[in-house]
This record gives sequence, structure tokens and C-alpha cells, in this order.
Amino acid sequence: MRFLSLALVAMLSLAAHPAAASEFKIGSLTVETPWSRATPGKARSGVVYLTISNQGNAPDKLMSISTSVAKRAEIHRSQMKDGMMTMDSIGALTLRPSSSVLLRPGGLHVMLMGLLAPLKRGGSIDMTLKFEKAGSLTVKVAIEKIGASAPTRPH
Amino acid sequence: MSGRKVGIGITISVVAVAALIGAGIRYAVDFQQKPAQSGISGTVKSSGIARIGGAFSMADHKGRQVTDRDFLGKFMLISFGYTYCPDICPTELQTMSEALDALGEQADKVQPVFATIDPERDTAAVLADYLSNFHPRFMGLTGTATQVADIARTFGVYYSKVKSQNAPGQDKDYLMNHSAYMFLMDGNGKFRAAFRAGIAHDGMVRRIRDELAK
Repeated sequence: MRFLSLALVAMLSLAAHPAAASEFKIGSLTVETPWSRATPGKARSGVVYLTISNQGNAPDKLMSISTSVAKRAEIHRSQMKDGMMTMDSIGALTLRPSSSVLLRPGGLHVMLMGLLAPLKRGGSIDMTLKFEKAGSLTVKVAIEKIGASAPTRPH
Repeated sequence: MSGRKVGIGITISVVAVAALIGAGIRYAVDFQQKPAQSGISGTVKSSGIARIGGAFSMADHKGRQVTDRDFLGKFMLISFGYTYCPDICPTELQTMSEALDALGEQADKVQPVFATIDPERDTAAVLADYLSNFHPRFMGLTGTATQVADIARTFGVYYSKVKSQNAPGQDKDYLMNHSAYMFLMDGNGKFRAAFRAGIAHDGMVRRIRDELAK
């Protein structure tokens, strides 16, 4: 009986996460489902999306990002201002306690600038996030197709 | 007049025209997106939007010279952007590609176009490479700085280069601010609809079907 209920819990939790999302943890921070878009041949820019949750009681900050595939990586925000699409670097990203920050198409994203090699669909890249308190965390970023609006592959 | 003065003149005129037309586009787009709030049903063409579209001369992604006249006889779904933009522009092109797929046979009546506002980096070859990732019938448009300023002015599209904090003037990784609308023009080159960036493809498909049926 106990085994059955455990199995049931396991099945339910699987059902709740159908994509079997990739998760990376450090301290009270969790980075979920980092994904990117493939880039055409000579593209010099790329993008990474992910979700960062802070389950702790204190705020933290994402201070900087680095990856070996680009000269620099910055946190940017796309937003419409008077009908103009602007993309601004926002510096450090504050992670409030008991909340999540979503980086997804059309809003917050990691901008990879000075890409050193094309990002190939189906591949992955390593990216290191440096947090003010929690320290450094390296995540594996799955590369989807160029105009993908969400991660599709189970990771 | 020196080259620099010409450049400044173009920038100022693009800004001025964008300021004049911007309000009209915003009105048109908001109106189309929120018919329920406006209290009026159906499609209304305001006089302000008639100015979108007109003569232009550009090069396509295969290096051929094209003008607005080459697009007559077909609807044109045109988006302005730049290939260095990894977030908004690929999303728009993907939405346009999905809309065309969803249109089925009717898609043949619509020419999808991506016009760059960054001719410095977006050569015909760069556009061809980029567009090969989207709908196979996509046409890219690029040209000289003057040609691009002209077509942008024609469509009331505003754009500007963002000054880099890292290496002013030398940075190849500069960003652009730009109007993020997609325009639907009919076979006579007349404006039919504007779609805001971020719109879902099914809403776009409904509107294109409506406009094709008129």
C-alpha cells in the first residue's frame, strides 16, 4: 500500500512536469529549463531564456553571466516604448525571496553578443551564472530552432 | 553637402516623419487590437493610416533590384527588423511563417517580406542565410542607407542605432531600436492592417483571411 501510494506520487509528479524540465540548483536558487535558439551561419548574437526561482527568505542578485561561446553575455529587456521596440541592458537582476523571474521571448532575456560559433539546433552550451550571495552556477542550455517560442524537447 | 550632413538629414527626416505618422499607426493598431473597448465593431480604416506604404526601391536577398511595383498584384506582409536581433525579430518571422502555413492555399496570395533597418550588417547574403530558417517564400529587402531610410519613412517605421557603452563607433555588436509592427498591404500597394509584435499567428490569420475576402 505504501509502495503504491509512493508510486502514485511519483507518477503524479511526473505528470506535473511533462517536459521533465532541466533543473540546476545552488543554495535556495533553482534555474529551470535554460534554452536557446539556433543561429544562422554568420550571426554574431544569440539569446538564452530560463526561469530563476528563489525559494529562500532573502533576496539575491544575478550579477553576471558568461559562456565560452560568446564574447559577452548581458541581461536585456525587450520592451515596447511608444510603438518602438527597444532592447536595454539592465545590469544585475534582483531575485526577490519566494518568487520567480521568467526570461522568455519578448521580454527579459540573456543576450549573447559577439557569438564565436553558430548555435546548432539540438546541441547545447554551458553558461555560468554568477549570483551575489549563492555563488556561481553552470547550467546546460538546450538549443531549439531559430524562431522557437518555447522549449520543446524533453531535456 | 558632405556625407555626414546627408546622414544627419536622413536621420532627422526619418524621426520627423515617424513622429507624425507614429500617432496614426498607434491609433490604427490599438483600434484593431481592442475593438470591444472602442465600442465599435467591424473594421474601420482611419484616414491617418492611408499614408502607410508607397514607392520604394531596394535590393532583395538575392541581390536583385526591386521596387514597390514588383509587389503589385499580391498582398504583402512586411516586417521591419534586423538579423542581429535575437529576441523579437525571429519571433515575428516565426509568427509570419506560421500564419502563412495556416493560410494553406491562400498563402500563395501573400508575399512575406523582411526589410532590414540595419543595412550596414544585413547584406543580401546575410539576409538570405537568415531567412532560410523561416518560410521558404520569404523575401529579404536591403539597400543603401538612403534606400532603407526611404522605405522606413514610407511605412512610418522609426529606427535608431543604440550607442554602445563598450566601444563607441567601433562596436560590431551594436543594437537597434525600431518600430515593431508587421504591415499587411494589398495588391494595389494599399495599407490594410498593422500587427503589433507579439501577436499570435491565429489572430493574424483571421485578419488576413478577412482582408483577402474583401
